[in-house]
Amino acid sequence: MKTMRKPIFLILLLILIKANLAQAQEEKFKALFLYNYAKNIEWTSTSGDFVIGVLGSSPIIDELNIIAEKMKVGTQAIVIKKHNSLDGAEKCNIFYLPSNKTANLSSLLAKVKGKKVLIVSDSPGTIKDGSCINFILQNGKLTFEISKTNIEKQGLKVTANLLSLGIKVN
Amino acid sequence: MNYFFFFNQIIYIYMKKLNTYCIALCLLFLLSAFNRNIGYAQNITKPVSEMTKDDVLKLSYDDLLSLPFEDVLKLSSIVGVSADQLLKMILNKNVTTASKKQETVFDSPLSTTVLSKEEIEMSGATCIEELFRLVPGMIVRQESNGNYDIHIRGNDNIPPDNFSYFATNTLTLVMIDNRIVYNYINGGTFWETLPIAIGDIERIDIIRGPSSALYGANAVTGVINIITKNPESTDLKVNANLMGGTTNTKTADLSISKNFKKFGIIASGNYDNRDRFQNTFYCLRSGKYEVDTSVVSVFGYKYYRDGSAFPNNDMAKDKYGANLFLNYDFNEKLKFNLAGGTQGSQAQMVFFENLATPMSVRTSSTNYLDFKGKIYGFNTQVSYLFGKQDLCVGQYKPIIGYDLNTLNANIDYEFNYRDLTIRPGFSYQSCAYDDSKRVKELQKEDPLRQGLLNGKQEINSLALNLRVDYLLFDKLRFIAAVRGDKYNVPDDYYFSYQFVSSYKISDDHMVRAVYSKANRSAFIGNSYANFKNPLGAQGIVGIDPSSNYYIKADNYYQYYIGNKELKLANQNMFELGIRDKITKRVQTDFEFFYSITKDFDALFGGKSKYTVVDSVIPSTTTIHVTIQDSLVYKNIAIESKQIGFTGSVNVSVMDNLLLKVFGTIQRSDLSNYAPVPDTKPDSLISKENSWTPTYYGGFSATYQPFKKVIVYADLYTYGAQTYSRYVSPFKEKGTTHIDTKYIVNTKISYKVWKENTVYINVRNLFGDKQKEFAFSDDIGALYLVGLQLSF
Repeated sequence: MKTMRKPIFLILLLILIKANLAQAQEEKFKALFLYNYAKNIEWTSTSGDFVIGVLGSSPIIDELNIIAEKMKVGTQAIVIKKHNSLDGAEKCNIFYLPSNKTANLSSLLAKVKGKKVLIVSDSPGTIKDGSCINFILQNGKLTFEISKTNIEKQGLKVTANLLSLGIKVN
Repeated sequence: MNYFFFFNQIIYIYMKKLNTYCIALCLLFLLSAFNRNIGYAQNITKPVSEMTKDDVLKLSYDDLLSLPFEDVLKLSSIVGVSADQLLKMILNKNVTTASKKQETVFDSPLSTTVLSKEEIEMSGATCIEELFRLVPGMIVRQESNGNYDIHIRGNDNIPPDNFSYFATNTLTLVMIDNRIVYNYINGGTFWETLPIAIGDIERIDIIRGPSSALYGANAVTGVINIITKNPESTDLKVNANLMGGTTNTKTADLSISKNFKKFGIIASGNYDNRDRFQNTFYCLRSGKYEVDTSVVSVFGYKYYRDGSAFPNNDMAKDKYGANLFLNYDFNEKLKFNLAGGTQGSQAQMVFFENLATPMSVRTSSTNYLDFKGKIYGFNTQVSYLFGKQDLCVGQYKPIIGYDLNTLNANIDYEFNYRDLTIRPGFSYQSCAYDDSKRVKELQKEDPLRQGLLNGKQEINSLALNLRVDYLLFDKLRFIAAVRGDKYNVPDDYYFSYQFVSSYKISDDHMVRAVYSKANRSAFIGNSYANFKNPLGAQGIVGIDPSSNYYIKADNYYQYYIGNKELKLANQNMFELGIRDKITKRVQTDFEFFYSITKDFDALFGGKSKYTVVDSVIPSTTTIHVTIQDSLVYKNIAIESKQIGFTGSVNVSVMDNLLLKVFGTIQRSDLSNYAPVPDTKPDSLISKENSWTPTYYGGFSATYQPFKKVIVYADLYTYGAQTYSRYVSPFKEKGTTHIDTKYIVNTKISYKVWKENTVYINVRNLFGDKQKEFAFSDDIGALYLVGLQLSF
């Protein structure tokens, strides 16, 4: 056993040297993106809190809470709500589906369709399934797809600036 | 396969032959491997398009939120999907302990290291003590499973050839959230008595060099400030870390937290239980490791009583702790924190004297309350610790068991005018130790038993301090901090100071110089020891030179006597430092230090008093006497001069591979050293302090091959050391040599689901059993598996 420990360690070192793949957390920027989406959508109601809902536990909640403490959307205080189910999703201004909750998209759409909720997803292909904005990775960088049609179906208007910054779909 | 083993063999031999310069060579190699490339200025005023990834990582949330979306998008693309948490961890950490204000490690005017919670978690360290093997400039020796001897830079075992507890570090101030956790009975930190565990820690700030001017007595070689977590999520969060493995090692910590925006709460608990790596004890008389029943005292008496609790053949460490942290942030100007907790522990390691083996069990059961308030410009903290401890369980006499109460209160106010900060403050400390209750209890069973103090004793101090911090032209910084303490023991004033100047050549290059002085406090034992030890008849003890009659001691008393007039040990230090961001992927930090430490004290033989109790009986030609012998704490002339260099290099080799290499080379010389207790002043000698290794340091590597996998490995090494302890009349058996050792650890974690992780953790991978401390246990490998839960 003792003679095996040195080779094991050496193998570990070799693994270290062969590294070339980049992966890391991007939740902070996703949260910043969500905040900027909020600023670039024309909301019809500007009373009460501005609610961002997140389905399930996600590290983005912590990041969003930091922003919520510092910023407002117009005059509205930002409130971050974690949802364990889709109940109450229609009361949110933005509803974020983390990648592991993509399966809930069709149910979500059925529930909030036309109710002025901006749906943001995090999985390839979801724009075609009805999401308004979808985070994607392009050449190792975080960016987003955006659908003017889907946003308008939700009863919202998007600024030209936001449309120009994302990858337009539809 | 043969080639593979041949290659391994070469590596192994090479590692064995690494000498004093190995760490320096590693640093030079790394430096030469990267071209020097002066970076650009890094701040928000710089055009976004010119920013590097490092620049972006330096931006705060406020910065990012102030930018238009198109700029945020550009910054996101600069950072890439690897928002590069790992790089951020080592290059962009904040520290508050160095100057009591928040700044990055790079800007810190003192020799500073910060361990972040991410590094701590990835490292696989099984306890807080082990984490210091990741810190430049620290000597960390494991004595038994989970119990460590920890020093900043050195100055250990002064004076040599005295009792074993002089080898422990009494020169470093350890705090939890600025709450002092120091032991005032004889100095130092009982690490197992910290109520918190790794899971509670947000970060650890380590400052090398005298810092009494900011933190008071005992911050002589440096300060360790363990900062605990704040509740971050408005959801109810549960975090747990469970680990188990060989040598019956089991650790667990659990926390539940919730943030209600202005109000936050964390409740946490921890448990750590381990066996020893062996079940024998070093016998000072035989000079060998023996089973408990064979251990005898230096006088030849069977030392351990049958059926008693000591020594414990198996137990190395057994501790638990529970804490509650509350915070209320009304606004930026009104913030309050309240923490409270309890702990219970027992640890078996080389510490308090007994006459048979240096290993002993100490127990502790304490509770604390800690209040902090930020009220407009005022910062205030009041903390109270109470409980009971026994430093040598089962020792017949002296009994080192006592109740303790320590109270600390600080208040300071921060004035800010442009680039000038003035911070005056006031501190009060009271430490009361009382063994009367414990001694009375034990004397009911046996009236001959005696305590070390035999009463309640107190040390206290009042202090005023002032810190001035001035930044000129955004580049040149001057800091002057002075503090005056009035102690009750010794009844005297002590002044400590810290003068610092730093110059930022550019955002990527900084030089600094420090001149500082700090002192230790008095200790209850050294000041108030009052132990009278009746040893009974001793037989013939000598011959009267005038009559040639035998002297027979009918009664022999030995006293341990404290001294309230002891001068306090102190250190003056001069330091030069330089920090560079050589490229956007390489950061270096070098420090050169020279210190003089003096006014140590130690327990030495005092005057013996002979009283003739019987007239000379001509027929027997014997004089009957009573002897009153005393050991008294005295200041000694010894001075320690240390010169050294510590370097560290942090390299982000690739976006997902980080390397940290660090090492210290030093030399410590002792002058005015008395090799034997009765050395005359003109016979004092100079010698090297052979117990501080000539070099020590290590490296760590963190690699994330896939999103769900983190591979971590570290190595810690130190040079050979020789320890010597007073073991009259067996001095040669009190000297031991510790060889160079390489300790390799690795942890491989796999994220099963979100932040929930399973991992394999191996400590001392090569299984090198060599002892790391004099007369302590063999230190074997630990193979552990663990589960980290977060939901």
